[in-house]
Amino acid sequence: MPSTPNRQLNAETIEQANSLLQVLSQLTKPDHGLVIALPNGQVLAANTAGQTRCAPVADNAPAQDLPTLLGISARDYAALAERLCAQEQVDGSSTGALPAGSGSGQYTCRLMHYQQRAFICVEFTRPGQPAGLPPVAEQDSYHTIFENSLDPQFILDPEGHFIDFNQSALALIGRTRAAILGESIFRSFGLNLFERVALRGQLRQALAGRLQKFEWWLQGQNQELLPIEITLQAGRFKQQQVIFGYVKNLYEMIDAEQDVRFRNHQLEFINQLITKLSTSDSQLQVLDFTLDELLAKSDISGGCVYTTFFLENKARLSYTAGKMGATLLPAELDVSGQTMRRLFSSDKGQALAQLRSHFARQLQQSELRVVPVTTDKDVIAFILVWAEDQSKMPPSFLALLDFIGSAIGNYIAFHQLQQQLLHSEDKYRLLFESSYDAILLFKDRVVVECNEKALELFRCTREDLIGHMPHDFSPKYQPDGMLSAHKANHLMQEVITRGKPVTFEWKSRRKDGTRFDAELSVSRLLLDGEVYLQLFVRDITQRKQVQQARRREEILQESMEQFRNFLEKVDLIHYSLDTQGNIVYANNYFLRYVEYSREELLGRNFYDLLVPEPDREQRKIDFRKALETRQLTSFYERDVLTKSGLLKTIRWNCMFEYGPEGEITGMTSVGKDMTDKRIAMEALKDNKIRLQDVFDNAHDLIQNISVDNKFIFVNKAWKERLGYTDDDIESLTLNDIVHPYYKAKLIYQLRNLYKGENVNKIETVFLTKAGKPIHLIGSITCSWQDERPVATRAILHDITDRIKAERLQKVYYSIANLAISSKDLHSLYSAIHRELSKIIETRNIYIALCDREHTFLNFVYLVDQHLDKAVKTQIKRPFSFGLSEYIIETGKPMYMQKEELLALARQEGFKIHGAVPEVILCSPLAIGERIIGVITLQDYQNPEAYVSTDIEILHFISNQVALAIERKRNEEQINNQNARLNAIFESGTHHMWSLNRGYELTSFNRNFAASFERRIGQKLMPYTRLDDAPLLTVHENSFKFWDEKYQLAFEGKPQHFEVHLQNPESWREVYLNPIYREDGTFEEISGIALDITDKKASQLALAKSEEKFRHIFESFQDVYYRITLGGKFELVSPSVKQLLGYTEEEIVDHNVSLLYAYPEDREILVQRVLEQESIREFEVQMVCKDGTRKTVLLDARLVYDDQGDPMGLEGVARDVSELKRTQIALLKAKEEAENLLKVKTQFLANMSHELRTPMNGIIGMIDLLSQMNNDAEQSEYIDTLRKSSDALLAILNDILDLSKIQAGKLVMHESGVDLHETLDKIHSLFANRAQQKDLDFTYSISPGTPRYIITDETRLLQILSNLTSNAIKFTSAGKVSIKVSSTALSEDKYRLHVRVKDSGIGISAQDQQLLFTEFTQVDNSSTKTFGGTGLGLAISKQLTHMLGGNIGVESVPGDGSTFWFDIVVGSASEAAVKEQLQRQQQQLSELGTLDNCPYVLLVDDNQINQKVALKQLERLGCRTDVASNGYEAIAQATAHAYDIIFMDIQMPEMDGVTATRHIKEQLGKACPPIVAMTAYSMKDDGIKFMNQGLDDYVSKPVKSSDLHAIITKWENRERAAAVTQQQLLQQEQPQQAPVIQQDIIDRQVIEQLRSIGGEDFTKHVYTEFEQEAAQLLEEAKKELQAQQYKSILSTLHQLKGTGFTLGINQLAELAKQLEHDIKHDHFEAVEDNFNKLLEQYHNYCKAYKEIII
Amino acid sequence: MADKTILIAEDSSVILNLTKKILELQNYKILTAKNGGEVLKQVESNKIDAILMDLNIPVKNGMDCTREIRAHENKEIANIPIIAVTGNANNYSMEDFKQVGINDYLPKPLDFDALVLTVKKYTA
Repeated sequence: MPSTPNRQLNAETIEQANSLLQVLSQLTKPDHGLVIALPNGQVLAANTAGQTRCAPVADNAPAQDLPTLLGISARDYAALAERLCAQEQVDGSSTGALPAGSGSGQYTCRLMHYQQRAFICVEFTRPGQPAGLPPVAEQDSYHTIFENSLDPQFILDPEGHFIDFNQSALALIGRTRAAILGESIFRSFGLNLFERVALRGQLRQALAGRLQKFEWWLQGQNQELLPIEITLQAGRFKQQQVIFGYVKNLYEMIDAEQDVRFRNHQLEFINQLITKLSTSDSQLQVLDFTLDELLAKSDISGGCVYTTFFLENKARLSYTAGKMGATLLPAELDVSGQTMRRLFSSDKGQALAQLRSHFARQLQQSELRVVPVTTDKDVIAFILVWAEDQSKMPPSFLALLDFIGSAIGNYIAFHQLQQQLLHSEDKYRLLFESSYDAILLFKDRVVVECNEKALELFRCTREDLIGHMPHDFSPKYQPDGMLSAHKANHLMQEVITRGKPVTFEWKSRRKDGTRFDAELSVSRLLLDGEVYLQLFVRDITQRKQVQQARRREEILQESMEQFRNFLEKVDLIHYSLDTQGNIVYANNYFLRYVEYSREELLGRNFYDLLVPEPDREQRKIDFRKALETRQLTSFYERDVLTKSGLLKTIRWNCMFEYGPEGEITGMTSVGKDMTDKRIAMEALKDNKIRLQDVFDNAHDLIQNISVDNKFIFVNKAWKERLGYTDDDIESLTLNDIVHPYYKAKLIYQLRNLYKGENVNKIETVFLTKAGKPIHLIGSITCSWQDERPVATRAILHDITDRIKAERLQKVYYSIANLAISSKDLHSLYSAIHRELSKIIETRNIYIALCDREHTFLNFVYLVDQHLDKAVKTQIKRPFSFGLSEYIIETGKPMYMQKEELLALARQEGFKIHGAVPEVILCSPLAIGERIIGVITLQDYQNPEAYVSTDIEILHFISNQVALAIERKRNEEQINNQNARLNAIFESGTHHMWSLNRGYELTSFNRNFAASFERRIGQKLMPYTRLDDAPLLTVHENSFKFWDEKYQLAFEGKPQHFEVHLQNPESWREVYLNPIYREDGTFEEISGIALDITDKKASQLALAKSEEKFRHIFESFQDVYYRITLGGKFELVSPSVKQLLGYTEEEIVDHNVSLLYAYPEDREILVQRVLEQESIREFEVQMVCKDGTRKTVLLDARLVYDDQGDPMGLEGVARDVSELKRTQIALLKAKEEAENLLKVKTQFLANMSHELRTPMNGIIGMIDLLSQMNNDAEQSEYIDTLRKSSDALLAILNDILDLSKIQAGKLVMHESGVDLHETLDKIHSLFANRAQQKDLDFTYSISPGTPRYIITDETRLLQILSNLTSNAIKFTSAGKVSIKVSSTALSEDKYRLHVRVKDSGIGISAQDQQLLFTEFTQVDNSSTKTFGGTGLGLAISKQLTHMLGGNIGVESVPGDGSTFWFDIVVGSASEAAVKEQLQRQQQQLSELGTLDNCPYVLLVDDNQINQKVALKQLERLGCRTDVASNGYEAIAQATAHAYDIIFMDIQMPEMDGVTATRHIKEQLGKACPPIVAMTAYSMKDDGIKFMNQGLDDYVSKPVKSSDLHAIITKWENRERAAAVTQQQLLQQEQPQQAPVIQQDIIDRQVIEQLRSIGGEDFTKHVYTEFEQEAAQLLEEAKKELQAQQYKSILSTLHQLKGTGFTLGINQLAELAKQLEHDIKHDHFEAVEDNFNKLLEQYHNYCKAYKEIII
Repeated sequence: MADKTILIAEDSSVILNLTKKILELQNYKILTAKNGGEVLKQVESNKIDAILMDLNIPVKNGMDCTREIRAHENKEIANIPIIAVTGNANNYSMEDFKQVGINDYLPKPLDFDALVLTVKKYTA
């Protein structure tokens, strides 16, 4: 019975029970009662139906016991519980008290485990009804349903924490339940913020009762993402709201995706298969394995392998796996060869199908797949597979099978081949390796293969053998004396050629140097058609040794035999002892000698028998010792005791006897009797050998030379020292090895020696084989034969080192002295070089010095084979990375061979300048710690020119060199400095001297000396005492004066005073200063006296003039003043009283600002004076003493002090109050006058407008008329009309002209004029009028007057018409005549006289005065008879002046007047004038219609003007719309696409400028050009309008020609713009239109330039322009970037002028346009135009050269 | 006319060399000045028969130079004929020229014939 450890129910348990109830009630029918109880029977929970069961218990409280509820006894219940615990389900009928109406009492009890706790669940049903809950047998608790669900499921609390998981879910996420329970879903899967937010939203939705289904993902165990679908549903669990979650694995859902995965698996499968196959051995294994794999990894259920036997047309079963079909598989299948072959043809599919059905029949297995395993030629086998379910073999799997078939086939084929290869190789290798002998395989005489045995034998690695030749592992010689290499070659060659195996013995050498004997068998092999040699090596050392041992013994015995025989024949004692000292042999001589018989002697101990008693023990010991140490004294004298007892002394030679193994077997002694004569001789011989030995061991060089200087003998030391070999010596003579310098001396000494003189000491120098000198000193003796010298013997001692050391020392000292003895640095370097060359080779030497900061390296001395000796210039280079720099930086001397140098350079990364020497010595030049440079010696040819010890020499010297150089450098510097100082000291007129405390002159310059010498009459010597007798008296101003000064100076007080000298008369300024030493003390003082006589004289003169000045000053009327910069009066003239009322005294020392009415004036004044040094007429208001103000003009200038700094102002003040008042009045008057003038100009402008408007109508209509086809008469009238109106217009223009003239703005337009025509014009203009008054009106031109002149015709006409109209006006009867004459002024200048004579009223002399004044008429009465503006004559006067002439009148009142004028005109050629006229006429007559019918909008408010213009435009072929005001204009302009708009400016309501602005705003870029039509005819007006946005202007009255010109101009411009666009497009293409290039420069100008200056000049001009323009444009560009438009004006101006001059017109035009724009502040287009200008310039640059050519 | 000396004041070396060449071909000796300052130096240190003066030269423009030359204490210098060369950037009138003492003027673009004629006229 289950125990209940705690009878006290806790809330948790009840909650669990409730939650279980909740779960269960969903599984059963609602009317079934459910009760949950503990196993002990305590009821915990019940559903509604269940509660009714419990109802009898009070208040629905389910506290009843289960036994009670079921109506059984406690005992029965215990049995029930026990059964339940045994997992049984217990059914029964309750017999207990059932409430009425609750039906029958059938129940089912189950034990359920829920949340690790056991509960008993009772379900009450009606009788006969099955229980709702699943029976226990199937599912023992609800929870297991959840747990075992295949779908992953989970439960979350509302916050997203996991409450539970089922197994599938855990499997899906791969975690344990414990790890994840209670965790938040958000945290569990490492969700990011957005995912968390999304998920939270989903949870919230789910809680709100909306089922949530969404896709999510999980990170699987292998980090791959696993897509899942999650369904969230709200539910209740354990009485709380929860979310039930279901997860679906989308991978399993989506077929397509599965397929992909499957394919991946397939590929993986193949990969794995192939990988694993490589470990399979045979074809069968491969096939079997493949089938196994297929079974394991796919859905096939079974399969088998049939291997084919092609020839038999059969396939045999070799393997089966998996589930077999119903029948046994046949062991053999028939396959036709033809079918198999078809598998390789194009109808493989069909063949396969055929095979399949064929096999299926034979195997009785319908769901069969045939996988033919094929190589490229054969079918190896068939793998047959089948599956239980046809659907498990999707097409993709079939494809895989197919692929597997061929992949496996290929693999097998490959495998087989390899296997074959391996087999044969193995066999070979086995043989090879298992051979007892070492085998080497040679090809081309090198080892290409060897076996392990060989490696063992040769005790080396494979690498040591392979690639080597036989002699590499043989000693140099074989035992027969042949070179191993030769012998091996020979033998191998023989085998190769003959092909017969050879066996021979060979001495081999191992890698470790040990040798062994081998028997070699060489045979020839042919492998793959190539010849190999196979070499068997058998170690026969053992055998050989045995052989040899035997042989050695034989030899030994033989030789011993021979030896003994020999000894028998000579009288030498001979005996042998064994190791015990027993005599084993004695020769007869010895027997005789010791008087014993052989028998007596042999076997006896030598020492016991023959050695005298006293020596015996010692000699035995010696003997044993000799045997032990194996060392013998080669000979010795010992006594022997003869049988008769005689003691004989014998000189012994002993030797050991050895056994075959080299062990000592005994000792043989050979002895000689000392008294024997032969012995003596032997001994002598011995001595000689010993002597040789002595020679050879001597350190001295010993040589024997024959008299013909050939070497007879030299000792070892000699050879070693001089480096010659024996071979060399044979061919050498003394001459060859003696240093050339010493040769003569040596030969001389030898000759003396041969003469018999005693030469006991020779000193000479031999050259080593390498050419190095060796100093030798020693003795020489001569050997004589027959009184003739035959040879000399010299014993020489090498003193090279000593000599070197001596020299080194000498050089060291001499270098130390060089600094003093050399005259300059360069000679010092040369001297150092010279000195160095005494001890060391110095063919190439350089000294390089660096500065302290290491900024440069100066090669001050450089002698180099590779450099021209003439190049003396010093090479200086920046301190960089060279060898020298390296040495300087490291401070280490270096000896290097070429390789080392190169290696060092590589390592340190420095550069080797110049050629690389074979050997180099570098030493830093150091002074203490500081390195000033480097000294380097190098040799380019001989690497042995220096040895490593040489660097020590160089380094030893280098310190001294450094010191010497530094000393010399300092010296030079000091010298230079001294020279400079001396120059200063001696220059000029200064006297300089210095004096010590003893009053001795320590130094003085020549000037000083001269002045004294002049006075004392003798030379002034240094250290003369100033207070000595001769000098005492000659001091100017007495010695006492000077002594005082000197004393003060010696007290440390510098003295500065002036002295007046008498002789000669002069002034001097004297400075006495102590000469301080570094420690601050001083012993001397210096004196400098400057001649200031001139200065003094001028000072004195000044003092005098000051007095004069004072007088002037005081009588000055203006006020002179001097003030400080601060404004304080220093000086003021007395006249200040008159000006300001202050006395001089009242003002001086007061500040001037008090006097200013406006103190700021003073500041300005001072400022300006400081800037300009002086100013004049600065006007200020000053306050007088009485408070009145005065206007004062100030002149002021800056006053400087001695140092040249400004210290104050001085100047003059003048009262201009009165003047000022007048001036102001004048100014006012002037302003008034100017105002009037402005009013007048305005009036005139207005007037002109009023006049022009009607004139426009008149002229316009006439203009139109003239263009109509009229008859001759009409034409004449119209012409007259036109002329008249033109003249009238001209007169109108007068009005403006006058104001222009007044403003100086009138410009003359000179052109060619036909004088006759001009007068004709005048005549026709006034003819009518004259006719009306019945006047005789004529004109005449005097002969000689040029008809064609250059002048301004308009102005001439103006004057003429003025005078003529006046004449006619004032003449009532009679005649008016014009007379023209001329006088020549120069070749082409004339003065033209014109006289207009009338017979009018005449003018009084008084009136004549007024005639030419503006706005006056002679008749001013109110009853004015004559009209007119009254301007005519005034204008005429001005015009004549401008035309270079004058105007006047001659008149007597009542008797007519003659108005005359004369002007200067140029002469013109008839042709030119005619051409000009023609051109003008042409312009008129050719005024044809415009070709392309422009569409024009005309805007004018005046009906007449409209009409005129309309007609004019019509005639020009324009389509014209008319607008009468600004609004209409805007409406029209925006409605139609006009080509051009003519816009009247003055219109009511809206003026033209405003209208234009609106139009432009609305149309933007599409706006046609808008041309102002204006009666404001002043040119400025036109520009004004253009500034206001109009594009062009035409002044009224408008002529057809003007319109034509304007329209044409704008048409062209637009076309040009279009063309430019096109050109730009074209420029992008490679071919550029040559036309453009030609247009760049006007060819005419080029021609002209060429004719002036020729080809080169022309070219030069254009090239120069290119350069100049480039510069200008560059600067302009910068200015433009800074928006400094105005700054480029002058540049543009210059480009314009130059451009036009050179005919570079396009460029010049652009410059002009820009200049114009900028001047008038139109900056919009500047940027663009400037770019165009640049472009134009580039075009020019590109093209001009070609154009010029 | 042998070796009359003309001073050309011109800041564009192109025009300067061009003018120089043209006048040299007419056997004039040419001195040059690139700015106003040089003009005055040249005038004071050489005997000059005529000056071709670009008005638009730096340091001191042609007008000012002319004024200074005309005001020179040395009568010979003060009376050197001065021919202005200008594109008339400042719209000087002939009267302005006369006022400062310019004898004649050549407009730019230069007409080479006119140049020679004018110079001849003032050095004859």
